[in-house]
Amino acid sequence: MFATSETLLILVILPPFISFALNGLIPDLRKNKKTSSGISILAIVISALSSIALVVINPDTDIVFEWIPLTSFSPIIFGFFIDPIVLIMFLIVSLVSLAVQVYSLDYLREESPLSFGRYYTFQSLFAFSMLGFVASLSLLQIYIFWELVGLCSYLLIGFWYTRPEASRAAVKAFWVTRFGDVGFAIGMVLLWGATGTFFLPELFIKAPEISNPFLTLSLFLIVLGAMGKSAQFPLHVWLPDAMEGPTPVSALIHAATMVVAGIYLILRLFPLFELTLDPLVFVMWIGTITALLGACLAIVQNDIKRILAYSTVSQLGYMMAALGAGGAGVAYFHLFTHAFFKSLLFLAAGSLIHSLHTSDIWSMGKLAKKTPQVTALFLIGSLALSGVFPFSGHFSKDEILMWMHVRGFTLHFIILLITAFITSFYMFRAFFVVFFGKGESTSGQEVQEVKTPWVMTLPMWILAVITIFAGFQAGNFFNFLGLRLEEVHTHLEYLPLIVSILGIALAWTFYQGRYLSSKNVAISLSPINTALEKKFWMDDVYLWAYRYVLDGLSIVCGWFDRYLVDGLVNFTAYYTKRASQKLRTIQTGHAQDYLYGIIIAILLLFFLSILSPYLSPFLNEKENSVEFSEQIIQKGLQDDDD
Amino acid sequence: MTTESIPILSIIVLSPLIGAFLLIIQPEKWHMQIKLTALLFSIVSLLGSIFIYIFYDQTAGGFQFIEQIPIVKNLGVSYYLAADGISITLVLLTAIILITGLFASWKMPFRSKEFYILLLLLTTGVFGVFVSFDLFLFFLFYELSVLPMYLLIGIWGTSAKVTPKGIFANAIKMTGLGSKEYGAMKLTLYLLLGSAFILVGFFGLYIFSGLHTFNYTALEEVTLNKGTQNWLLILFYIGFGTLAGVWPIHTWSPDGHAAAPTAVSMMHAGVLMKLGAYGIIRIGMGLLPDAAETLAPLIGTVAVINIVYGAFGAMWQRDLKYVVAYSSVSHMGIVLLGAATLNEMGLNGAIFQMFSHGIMTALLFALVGLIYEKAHSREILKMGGFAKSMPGIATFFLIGALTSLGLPGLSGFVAEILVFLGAWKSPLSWWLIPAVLGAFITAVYVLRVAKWIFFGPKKNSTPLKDAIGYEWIAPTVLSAILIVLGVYPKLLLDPISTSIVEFLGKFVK
Repeated sequence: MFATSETLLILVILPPFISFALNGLIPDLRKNKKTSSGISILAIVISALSSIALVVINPDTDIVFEWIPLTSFSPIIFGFFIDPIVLIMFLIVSLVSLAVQVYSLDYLREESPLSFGRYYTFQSLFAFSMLGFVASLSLLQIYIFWELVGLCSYLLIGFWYTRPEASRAAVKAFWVTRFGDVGFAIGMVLLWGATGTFFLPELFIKAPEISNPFLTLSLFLIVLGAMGKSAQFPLHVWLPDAMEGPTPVSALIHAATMVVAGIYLILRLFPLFELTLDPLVFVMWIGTITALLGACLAIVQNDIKRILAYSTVSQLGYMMAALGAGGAGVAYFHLFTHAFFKSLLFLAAGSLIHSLHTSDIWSMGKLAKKTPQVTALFLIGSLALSGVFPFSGHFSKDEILMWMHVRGFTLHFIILLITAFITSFYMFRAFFVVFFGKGESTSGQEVQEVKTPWVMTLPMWILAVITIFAGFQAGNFFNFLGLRLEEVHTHLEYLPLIVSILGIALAWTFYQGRYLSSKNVAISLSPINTALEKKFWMDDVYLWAYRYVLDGLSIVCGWFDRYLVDGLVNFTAYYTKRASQKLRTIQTGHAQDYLYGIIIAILLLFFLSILSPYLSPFLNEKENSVEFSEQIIQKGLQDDDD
Repeated sequence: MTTESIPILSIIVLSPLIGAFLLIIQPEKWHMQIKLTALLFSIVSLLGSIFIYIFYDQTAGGFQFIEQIPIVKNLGVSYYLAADGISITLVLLTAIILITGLFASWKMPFRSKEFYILLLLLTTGVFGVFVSFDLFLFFLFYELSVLPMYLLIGIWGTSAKVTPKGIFANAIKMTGLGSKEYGAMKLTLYLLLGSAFILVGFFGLYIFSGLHTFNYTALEEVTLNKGTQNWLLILFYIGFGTLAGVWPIHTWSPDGHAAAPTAVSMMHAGVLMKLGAYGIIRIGMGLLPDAAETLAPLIGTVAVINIVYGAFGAMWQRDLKYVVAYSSVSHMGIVLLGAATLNEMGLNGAIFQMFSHGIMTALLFALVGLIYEKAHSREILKMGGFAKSMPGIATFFLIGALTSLGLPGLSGFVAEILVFLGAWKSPLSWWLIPAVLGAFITAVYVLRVAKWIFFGPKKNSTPLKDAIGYEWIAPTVLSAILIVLGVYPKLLLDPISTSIVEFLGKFVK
């Protein structure tokens, strides 16, 4: 058969790379809007179709090759493989990429051909890196693709690089995730040091032999990397700023795919995490804190993309918490549903921003009548995010909450429940203000028309359909992974749903019914409000560390180098010069002076020759050395005779 | 004709020298012909380097392409050229950088004839060092590669505006810091002081081995007593370390590199600094294995200081060329750290890093030269938003910057990860942590510089243009090498590791 599973695997990963290479290397392709986007979309279509085919066949297959030859240690081997976890991720990445790339055709219509081509080149690179990351069979290879998706994120956040905010946000995202990667890199090397391999199957076999504090330490370090990539507290600060990139990029990279890489990493390494529990407990706490923190910060945001960004932070926290509680399956299910509804939300928000040229929710308003289509799409997304039945978010969030409850993590359960309440509140705050609000900040200007061509709405509707129906596939999802969906029946079963609806109701009271004034509440709770608006001063702490620790150390090193190390050098040079200037005055040019010198020298030699018998003990060495050199000369002469 | 019968190494080494002599007899005003002559003889060397890369027999290993002619029998001096995997890698590096350097300095405004003569002489020296296995010959070539530098920087260099601040400001100003004369003199004096140490070390080997020969393979067989070995290694470490930019005798490097013309900066930071590291590994560690094991903790610890200190030093700079120069100090630390691990990963990584850093830093210096040519400035804070008008240069600069911070997919990562693995397996495994942190600090300063120069709104109104025509050659070739090696490192690691495994045979106890 032609389409063996190995060919299909190659057909998933390779086409985006070829597209990247073609667009990257041939300027003529890149400079033409049709060719650059055409190649890129064609490549991702092939990937998506192959992924679907693979999901249907569901084979076990791998491709393995040697990357770095070593002899005294086992060589470093790379490979790609498929298992159900990989396949689901293939599906998410290729489908959302496809949706986003099609959507971008219109979103970036006004760009010059050159930057349009640049966008699709980076998109292809991203798709390749993310697909490669997912299917990696070696920890080092995971790290490589991990960094490459980070690079794409950097390049695409900074896509509009002439805007200072965009270039700052790009660099910030790179630095913060890179800081986490310091931990990842060290942890990875430590694991290699203990097992002598990066190859995952081998690693899992040898891992139980690793002595425990060591294994715990390396896993903690790897978790640090995951926290950076998946925007977990306290390394979440880059994600809201990353919204400076084009909105489709936020939908793809900063909502659906790249930011879940940290969760995927822990999931992939779960056999290691099961050996020692401390890192998992840590992950659970970090996840819970992040979920709550992200939700709280989302309340006070006025930028629609930032609201969505903080909600992403919060939802990633849910996944982390579930992972930490041992619920790899439920975390993965939430990852799956979240990818679709969150990218839907971003794309819907993007279509508003695209037409209105603003992302401030108070400048929008009254959009429900103008664009019922986008309203419906955004509503579907919001309901899913809030966890309302029957949308997919309801099922996956419910699973996580029930998992926490049944496993007895009551405190975490309560915090996550409160978070669910806040989530539906902030989401519908945005919804009501944007679609039914009065458009308060527009200063009387009529809101422009919202244009929704089919290239934008079609991808959104596909995502919306998935969002509506994915929840009912929970059973199939778990079967596919080889897990069993737990049917939990407790008296708390309906609590999450009730909480969500309460949150929506509260948002309605504030922003739609206007029975309560949000401004009054903000004033009466002003310390909390300030703390939220200042993002708990976290950005300031990082800025302080950057300015005073990093720059401070650089000043110390630079100063030390220029003034002490170099100072010593220049000092020596200067005094050498001075001394030579002084010494040269000995050479006066007068014959008498030289005559004195000669006479003194002769006298000195004369006295020495008289004294030499008395000095002989001290001169012994010298005589020996003379003998030695004579020996050398004689030997040399003998050699010559030969 | 078999491959053995061609004196291929002599062709590589002497081709630039012949080119230099031919240039002497050409009239000054034949500008194009002078350039083409220089290029032609460099291409001969490049072809030779590719030839030995292809025809080096990896299964046989060891020294190949041997040419041995006694010169002074009594003193044990011979014309002994050979190459193993390490030499081949570095010879290839030299040839690539020579050619790209010629293109980067294609527009030489004055005295171009003398410039090319000196550059070719210098390259002969570099080629010679990498393939000569007679210490006398080695030293001869070594000096040949160091001395032309004084003239090259002093005559064709550029002076930077450095305004010292603080309590020593006046004293520093008096030294003439930033001027090309200062840079040239400092570099030359430092390197000559280094050579003095090396010369003493060579005589020490000559006498204490009792063989009275300068032949490397003969000296390899001798085991000196430990005390002598230690002293000799310290001599070599200081001597070669000066050229390799070892802390705290590195300060010639930023001043010298910043003052040098583009091709010379590329050659010097790209290849000559590797000559120092090569000397430490080949002569120091190769001939004095016991001392290498004793002193490895010292060498490695200083290397770690180099990595972190160099990175912070680069962060402090606001002159683009100084940033690149300090980053070289930092990256040479990775080479020496790899060497100090004395295991397979570390040494493979060290040699790979020599190649990768050579290409990377040459790329960055070439781009700095281009930016200077277009914007007439090297002061980072006065630039901004250049990516709009020079997208090509921005792209290549970013590739160089990303290699520098060790991004996977580019060759710097392969080198760094190998050195990290080596460091963890070495006796002092804590080296790993500052080394990884060094890569993080590099990410901070390198991306910051890229952001300041290329991104954001445009700062000055002078119209800028992207590179044109031949100016693309150096960045394109160098970037392509970085990417190819990053994706498929086996191309170089195969020959390198063949020789490293043999090299490590000395340390097996």
